[in-house]
Amino acid sequence: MSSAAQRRSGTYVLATAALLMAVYVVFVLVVDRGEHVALRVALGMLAVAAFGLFIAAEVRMLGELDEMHRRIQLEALAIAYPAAILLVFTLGVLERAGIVVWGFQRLRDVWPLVALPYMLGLAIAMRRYR
Amino acid sequence: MKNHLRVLRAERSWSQAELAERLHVSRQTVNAIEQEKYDPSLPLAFKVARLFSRPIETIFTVGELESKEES
Repeated sequence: MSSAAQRRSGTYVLATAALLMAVYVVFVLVVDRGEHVALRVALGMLAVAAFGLFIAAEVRMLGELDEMHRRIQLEALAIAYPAAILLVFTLGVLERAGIVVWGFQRLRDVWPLVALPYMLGLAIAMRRYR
Repeated sequence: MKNHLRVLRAERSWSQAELAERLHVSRQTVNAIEQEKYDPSLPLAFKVARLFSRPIETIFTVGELESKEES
């Protein structure tokens, strides 16, 4: 639970997040180019596996956090969960009202946005204890 | 909750990082406790008390109780 261990696991989380984004971007490019279905599925599953690695890194990081940083994570999630619902609700309301928000026509376009409320929650929670 | 952690640490000439290492927490956590922005858990408070060889209530006090006892 030392600062060095926390930094190491934080770096691992960032690295897996970067890997996830890279694989996902390649997957989207391959799909857009209309490549063979086997390649598309393989890359899609690779993105899913990368997401699994990211979650494993998050769990490992949580195990190495001290009590204050665990509380920060908890508060970040407590803010992020309703904020994410609010975000999806807003997009849903706009869609139902007949306004298609550019880039978020389908559920598959919305999931990357759900990370934003977590970032916001983390920033608010960290500021409280700084 | 109020505490005298900064004074006790200064008496031993320890940096926040040194104290954090002894308590197995991060330097940010020591800083937040010293600034009274974060109240430590009971196990951590006991660890602090043991480290400084003092009763826990002489290091951590509830602000209102302290002022009542003084008056």
